[in-house]
Amino acid sequence: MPDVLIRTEGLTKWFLAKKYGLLERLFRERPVYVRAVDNVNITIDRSLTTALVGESGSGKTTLGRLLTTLEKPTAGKIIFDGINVTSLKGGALRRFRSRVQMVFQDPYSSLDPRMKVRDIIAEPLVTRGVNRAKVNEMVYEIMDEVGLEHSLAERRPSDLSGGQRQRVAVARAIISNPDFIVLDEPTSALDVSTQSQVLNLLAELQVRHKLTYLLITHNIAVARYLSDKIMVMYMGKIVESGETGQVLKEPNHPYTRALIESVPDVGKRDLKPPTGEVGSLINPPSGCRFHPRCPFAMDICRREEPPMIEVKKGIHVACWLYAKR
Amino acid sequence: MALLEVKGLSVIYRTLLGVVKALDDVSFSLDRGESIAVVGESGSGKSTLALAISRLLPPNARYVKGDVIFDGLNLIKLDQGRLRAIRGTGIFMVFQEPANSLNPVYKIKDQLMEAVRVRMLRSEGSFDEGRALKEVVDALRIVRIPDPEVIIERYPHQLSGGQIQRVMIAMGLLMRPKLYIADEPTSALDVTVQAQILKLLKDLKSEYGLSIIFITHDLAVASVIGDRIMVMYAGQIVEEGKMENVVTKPYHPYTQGLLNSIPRISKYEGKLPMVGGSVPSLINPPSGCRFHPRCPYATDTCIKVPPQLKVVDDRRVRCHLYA
Repeated sequence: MPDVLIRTEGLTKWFLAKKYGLLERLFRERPVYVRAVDNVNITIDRSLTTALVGESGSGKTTLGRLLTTLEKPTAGKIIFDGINVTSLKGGALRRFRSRVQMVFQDPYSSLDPRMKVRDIIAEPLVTRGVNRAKVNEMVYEIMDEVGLEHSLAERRPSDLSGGQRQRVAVARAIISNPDFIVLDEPTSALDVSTQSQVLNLLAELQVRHKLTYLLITHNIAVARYLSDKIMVMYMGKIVESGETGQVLKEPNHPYTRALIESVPDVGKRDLKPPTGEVGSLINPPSGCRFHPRCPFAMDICRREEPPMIEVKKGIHVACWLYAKR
Repeated sequence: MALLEVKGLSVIYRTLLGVVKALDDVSFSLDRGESIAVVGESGSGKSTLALAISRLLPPNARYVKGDVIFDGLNLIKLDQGRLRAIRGTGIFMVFQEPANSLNPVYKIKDQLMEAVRVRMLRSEGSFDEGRALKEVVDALRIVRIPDPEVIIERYPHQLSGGQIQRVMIAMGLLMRPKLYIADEPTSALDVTVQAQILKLLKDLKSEYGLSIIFITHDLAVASVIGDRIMVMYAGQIVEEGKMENVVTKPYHPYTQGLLNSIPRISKYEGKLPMVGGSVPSLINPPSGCRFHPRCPYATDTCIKVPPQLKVVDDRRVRCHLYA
C-alpha cells in the first residue's frame, strides 16, 4: 500500500477572464471564467516523484501552485498528510507553508538580482527566525550538497550561469527541510549537458532527504527519467495517470498516445502529432474535452464527460473507450 | 553544384570584455533539396553561423575570413541592394522568438500579402491581389491554422506563439525560398506543435525541393529533420556526417556525451551520464583541442595541439583519437 502524502478532492480553479467589477455587476453581465483546473482528484505518494505532463495551457502550473497554496482554490479540498490545507489560516498556514517549496522554471527571474547567493539560500530560515550562526553553517552545508563552491556565497545571481542559478534555487528549496517540493519545469531553461547535471542532483537529493516531488514538465523524456508516477493533463483535467514506465510504454488515452508520438527521439524519423489545436478554456468542448481532436471520438464523447476508469491496476484513464457498457 | 557553400568562415564579436571568436574556420556545403541540422549548446556558435550566412550579424561582429557562396554569388562581398534581392525569395530565415518576427502594427493579412507581392514582383514583374489573397489563405491552411479567413484579420498579439511560428512558416512557403534557415524555430513550442511543424518542413522539402539549415540544441529533433548532422562546439565543427551514421555511431567524444546525456523516452538507464563542466569562454578558448577540459579521453597532445577537421570513414571529425 503506497503511503499517500497529498490527496485532492474536486480541486478546481477558475480565473476571471475579464474584469468583473461594479459596472459589470450593475449591468448584470455574466462573469467569464477560464477553467484552468477543473474538478481534479489526484494522489501524490510520499518519497516518490509524480510527474505532471501536458501542453502549455493545460493547467499544470496552476495545479502546482494550488498544491503549494500560492493560489486559493475556487472549489475542492487539498488533504496534505491528513490536514485539510484549504481551511488553514494565519499561523497554521504559515507553519504548513514551511513544509512545501517550489523551484521555478526560469532561474533568471526567480532569484532576486540584488541579493547575494548566501542570503537567497538562507531566506527561508531567516523568515523562520533561526539564529545567524546556525544559518551560516547550514547555508555552507547545503551549498556543498548541491555542488556550489563556497566562494559563490558572496556573489549575486548575475555572476552565475544558468545551471548554477538553478542549483541556488534548489538549495533554497531544500534548506528548510520540506516534505514536498513542486519542480516547475526545473531544467527547460538549461542546456542539455547542464540539464543532465541538475536532474541527477535532484534524484540524489530526493533519496537523501526522502523528498516528495511533483515534477511539472512538458518534456516527457525528463518525466521518464525522474518520475515514478505520471499524470497527463489536458485542458484542466487529468486524462491518464499511473506508473510512469507503464503509461509511457502502453498509453491508453488517445491524447497520451498522440503526445508520446510527438516526442522526437534519436532514430525516430516519423512523428505522429495530434491534429488541430487545444480548444478554448473559456468555452471548453462539451463532453470529453479532447473529442474535437480525437480519432476515436464517438457520440457519447460529445455529450458526456468520461469518468475516471481503472483499466489496469493503478492505471486510471478518463476515456469512454474503456467504459464497460 | 551545391546551393550553398561555406568556406573557411571565421567571425568575431568585439565586446567590452575582449574579442569573442564566435566562428572558427567553418566549412560545409548544402545541396538543393537537402537538410542539415546544426547541433550545439548555447555558445557553440550555431546561431552566429545562421546570421553570418544570411548577412544579418549585429554591428559589433566582423567577418575575419571565408566565403559564403549562395547560388553562385559570394554573399560576403555583395552590397546591400543586391542582398535585398536575395532575402525572402533566396534565403528565408525563421528565428527562435517568433513574437519579434512580425510587425505588431500590421494585420497578419497585410504582412503575408507583402511577402507574396515581393515574390510576384521579382518573378513575374506584376502583382495580382486576388490570386495573392487566395495563396495566403491556402498557405495558412497548409500550416494547419484553423479558420485562416478569420486569423488573417488579426494582429500578431492576438495569436499564440505556436500560431505566430506557423504564420512565419507560411510566409516562408509564400516566398518560396531556395534556402530556409530556421534557428531553434520549435524550442519555445509544445511537443505536439513542434511535431506538426517538423512534419510540415519535411513535406515541403520533398514537395518543393527546399534546402533547410535547421539549428537546434536538441539532437533528437536534429535526427528527425536532418539528412546530415553537423555538431558544433566552441565555434568549430567537431563532427559532420550523415544523420544515421552520426547518431548510431558518434565518433567525437562530445557528440557521444551529448547523445548519452539527453533523457530518452525509449530507454531508461538509471543515472544519466553527463558531460561534466560547461562550454568554455570564446574570448580565451582552451589551448589545443577546445573540448579537452571536458573530454574523458584527453591526452597531452590534446592539450597542446589543436586537432584539424579531417575526413574519417564516412564523415568529418575534429579529434586526435582518429589521427
